[in-house]
Amino acid sequence: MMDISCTVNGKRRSFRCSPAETLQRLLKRSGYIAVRNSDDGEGFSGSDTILFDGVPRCASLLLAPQADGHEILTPDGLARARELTVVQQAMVDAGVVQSGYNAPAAALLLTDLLQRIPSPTHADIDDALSGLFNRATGYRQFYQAVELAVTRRGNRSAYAHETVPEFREELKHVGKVRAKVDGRKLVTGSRAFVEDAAAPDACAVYMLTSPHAHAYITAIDTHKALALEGVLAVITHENCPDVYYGQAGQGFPEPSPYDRRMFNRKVRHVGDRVAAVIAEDEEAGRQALALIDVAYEVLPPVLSIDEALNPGAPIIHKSQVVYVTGAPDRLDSYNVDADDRDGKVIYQFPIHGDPHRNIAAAVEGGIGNLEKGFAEAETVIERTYETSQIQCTPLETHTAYAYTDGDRLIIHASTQVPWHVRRITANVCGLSENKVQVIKERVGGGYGSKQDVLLEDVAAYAALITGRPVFYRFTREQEFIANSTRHPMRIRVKLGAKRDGSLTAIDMDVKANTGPYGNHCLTVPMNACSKSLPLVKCENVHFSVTTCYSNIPPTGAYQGYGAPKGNFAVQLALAELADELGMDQLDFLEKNRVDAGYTLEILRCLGEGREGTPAPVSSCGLGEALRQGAELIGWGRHEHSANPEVKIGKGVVLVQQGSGLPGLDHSCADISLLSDGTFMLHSGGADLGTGLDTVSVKFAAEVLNVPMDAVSILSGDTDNTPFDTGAYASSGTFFSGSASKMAAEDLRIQIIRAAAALLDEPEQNLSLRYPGEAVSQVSGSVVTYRDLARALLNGTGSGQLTGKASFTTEDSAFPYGAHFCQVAVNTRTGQVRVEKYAALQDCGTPVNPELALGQIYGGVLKSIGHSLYEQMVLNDRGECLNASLRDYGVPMISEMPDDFRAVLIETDDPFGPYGAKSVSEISTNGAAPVIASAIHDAVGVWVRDWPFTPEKILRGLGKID
Amino acid sequence: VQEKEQEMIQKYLRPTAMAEALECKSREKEKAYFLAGGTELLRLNSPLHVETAVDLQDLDLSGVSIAEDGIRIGGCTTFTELLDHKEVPDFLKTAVLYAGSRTLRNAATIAGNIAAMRWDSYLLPVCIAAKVRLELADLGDDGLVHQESVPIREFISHPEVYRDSLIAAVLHRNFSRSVVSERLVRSRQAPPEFSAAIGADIRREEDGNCSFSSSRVVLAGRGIRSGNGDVGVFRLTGVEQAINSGDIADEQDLVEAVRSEVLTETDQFGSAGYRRYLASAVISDLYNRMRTSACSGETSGEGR
Repeated sequence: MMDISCTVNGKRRSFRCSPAETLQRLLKRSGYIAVRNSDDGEGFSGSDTILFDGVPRCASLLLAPQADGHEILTPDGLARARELTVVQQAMVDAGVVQSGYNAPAAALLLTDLLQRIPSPTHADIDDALSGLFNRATGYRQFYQAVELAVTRRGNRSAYAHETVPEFREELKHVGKVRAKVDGRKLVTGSRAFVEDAAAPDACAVYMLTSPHAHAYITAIDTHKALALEGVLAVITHENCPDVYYGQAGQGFPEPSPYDRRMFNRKVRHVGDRVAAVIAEDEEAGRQALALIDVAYEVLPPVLSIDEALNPGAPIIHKSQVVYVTGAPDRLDSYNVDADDRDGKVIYQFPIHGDPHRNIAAAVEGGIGNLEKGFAEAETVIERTYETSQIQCTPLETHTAYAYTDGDRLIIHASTQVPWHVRRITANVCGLSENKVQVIKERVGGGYGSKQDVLLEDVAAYAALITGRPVFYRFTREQEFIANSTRHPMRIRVKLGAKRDGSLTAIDMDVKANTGPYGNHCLTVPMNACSKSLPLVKCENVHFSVTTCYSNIPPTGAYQGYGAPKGNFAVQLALAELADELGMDQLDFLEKNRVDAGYTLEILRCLGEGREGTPAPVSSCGLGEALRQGAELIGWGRHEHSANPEVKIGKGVVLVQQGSGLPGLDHSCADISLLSDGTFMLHSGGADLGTGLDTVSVKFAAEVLNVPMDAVSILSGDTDNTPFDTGAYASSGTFFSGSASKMAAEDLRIQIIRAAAALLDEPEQNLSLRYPGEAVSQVSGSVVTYRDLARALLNGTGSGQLTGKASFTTEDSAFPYGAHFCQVAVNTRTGQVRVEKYAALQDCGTPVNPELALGQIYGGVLKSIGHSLYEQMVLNDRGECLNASLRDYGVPMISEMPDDFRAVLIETDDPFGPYGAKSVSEISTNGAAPVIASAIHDAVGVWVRDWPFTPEKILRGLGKID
Repeated sequence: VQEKEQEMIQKYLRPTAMAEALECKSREKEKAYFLAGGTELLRLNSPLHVETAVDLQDLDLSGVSIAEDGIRIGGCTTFTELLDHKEVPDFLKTAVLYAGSRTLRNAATIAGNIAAMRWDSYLLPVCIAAKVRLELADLGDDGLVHQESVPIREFISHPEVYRDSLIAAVLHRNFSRSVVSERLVRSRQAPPEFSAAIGADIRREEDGNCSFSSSRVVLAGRGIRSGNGDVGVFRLTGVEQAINSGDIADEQDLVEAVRSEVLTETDQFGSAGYRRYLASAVISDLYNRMRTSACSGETSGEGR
């Protein structure tokens, strides 16, 4: 061990460290928690940024002893007390602080930038942030943050949001730029995440994972590992709970099958769980992993859809198949050839799975008469598209911390679904739900992958059997091999149209690869249909979905769910059809798009695991989005590059999503009047960084006519807030927000009633007035909330007022949008550069305009990444060859389009709270088809599979075989 | 918990003089490595198994100085310092910017990048193309520090000879040499599909033609190797000879020269055909770029 001393955040500090310890680790364990590790110390993502002698460096790429005698500034050393720095405040106001895991590092980098260059250009900002990965918001709004910070250095009170539009003039908070309620906490690097809650002496989970994609464990010996000092337990398939479950955090009963135990005798992907070591320290944990002897019977891996569906293919789940309801006839004979070593597949209800043929789920449906539709068509095209497996790459990897408290189990989770985590872990651990508390901490990026329960089950069970606090966090590499990803899909689309462009028939066949387990195996591929087919008017539509098991890394939910894939296929097929018809693509879309009032009959057969219902388009901003987008992109104007090898092209596509799952989602909230006249709001909603808590607070403050600061919120805590199905399917604002609004409206009624009694006036005379009082419109009498609360709580009053709400609905509110882009294709190298991108989106009333814009920018850049750069490369053994952020190819600020614009198209949806609809997921649905369409416009090549690599472009151009 | 640790490192040494640094390295043998910026030695999945880190920070090895016979760049000069120094040749600045992250550039050093000898090196291709020399320091049997100037090709070709040497500086003397480079990437910070550099001494003849001499054609990429079986960053000596002898009449000549000397293979990251095409296209483009700028009388390539 070595002793070093250095100056950290202006104070002289001495530390004891080993020669091997990185500076990041030393600082983190010494309380500088904002020096984080999100990339296994790769020096890529920037979460470990510090100023080392005034220069930004990656603390993971410094040994702790190197710091001896040096001066260090950590991100949490920027702010003094409660005062945000100009840069930090500007970041919050510009909307770049969302999931916030890297926000403190960004603040540090921008602070350094402004010290070096007082008035930086965009290129300077790009350079300063070049070592920072920001998955949530893209990077565009950092320009605004810097601009604001520069302005405010001269004038601290400068307006926060001149560059962000505001909406709904008649409302105080909704549609206005307001500081995100957790912005301060996140940007300063305060304790916010699960890792910050873990006790320093917590044990940790060290997972032994499978080196084989497909194998039986024939023997496992853990004795030597268990004998090691510091090892508390080893969990394997031999001693884990004999409980089948699924990791998909969906509403119960789930459409996803229960096809796994915590540990299984059969491993089904490289990285699958084999044994969990619970150890007191890292050395013991790692040694123990090396001491576990495992023997495998290796089976041939199945990696592709074709391989999986091939008759005679190795079977991934040759399991006993069980149905909770609706078991088919002859199930006994079906199960005759099941292998006990494969365990069970339990369906809650039939989803047309046939695991013994590697089919996890299947469904088909349609409206009208397809044959007749194609017979009426004068032009028919049929194309096949493929999408690839894509990683969510949240900066904060999956993390859980669990401990026991008496006979209860407490789980701190980075999750989008606290109540599903409680239900699933309680089930796995053999506890009733009242014995489990799940506390959702701030979520440092989820994007769907934290809808799945990937490690909470192990952490919880480990805490239960050891009685010790247990921390479990995926490394970045584990995130690549064990996290939920986008399902790879192959989608065949057949379209028929009349010569004038009217669609007469659509046939869509989706083949999806769910990988080793059936997370979301029915609903993601169905969503590929349900969020793409309803964008156009067509009376004859048919779809079919088949999802197969395989041995690729796991799949599951990812922002957009199935829509980015289905929409890629349908929108690109529409572009190809327009081309075939010789029609302008924009005219063609205008002719066929839906509009307000149109009834979406196709949704009758696209319920998520239940019968669907047709729904009307309650509001639709598509027309305006297309009009404004065409202007922004210069539609119809052909651009030329100075480089003759470079060709320019443009594209346009339509996008849509839903706002939660009507008939399935359920959100609750309550809000109480406190004794000083302020409010405490309890929302079940799980804010995963998107600003849902801010939405809820805005709604409550709007209803109760108070400043937002008068409403505090606690959310996503299963003990202390009411039920919510969770943050997925774009449900946050529509469901959880509606519950908060309705709870406030309930409280408003109670306030008026209590105030009327106090003032001795009829209730109808009273209204609520800003900044927090009830006033009689007749007598002018006034009682402030503060006085009212005191009267209610003085020992003689009627007690605390609490408004409650339980929100469910059958009504749908579909967000819409049009995405335009301009690409430059280098015909020499095949490289594609997105020069311009305009995403125009109708999210009804944008409740948090700056955050909504950030989500659009973030969603678009993610999907640009999926389209052009990102790729999980597997070898024929199913091993991921590029399990790091750099090798995988996530987009950084340098990949941002040169001209990048998000535009909010306002509509007032009759069903959404204050007219609001969802905004986040839809943003990921446009980039793939619009870029592919623009590539064709540029060079005449249709690229029909992700990612659009230079090699595919060159092949399309005939330059390589 | 589960934060990164450089597991293998058992010992950290921080010498204050060159002799001490070399003595540390010599004493600890092959498992000791010089530690400068840390971006190579401490990088994720580094192939180096470091047991002893010899930290060079207290040695005065940074900085750029100009002498009559060229430019001397201290081995521990960071990429950022290279960019900020007006005398550093443009071809080197271009290559430095292939490292897309400023935060990394603040740490990465010129000697560290060269010494790592990785196939995806930012600087190695241009340094070979530019024919830079390395000022190497070694501990003699007499216990004294000996310094010698070695061509970079020697250093690359015989790593076993220079295993204990410290790159004290990088020397660039031929200011008139043209050097151009290209690094094709899918996204800026991803590993390159392909890196290439060409360097040459170009003379403009009275008839307006240009003659090339001492050419260096350097290539690196996943799934490619030279006809001699070289992998990593390697030279195409046949192409160099063709360029020097003026045998390249048109692009097709160059394409064929490259194709005859580059072997490509198909793997999960790309096909042999793609790589074969790209090798030819990139080398051709670089050659044309250099020829056009040099022969038109402009500043030659990205060189000074």
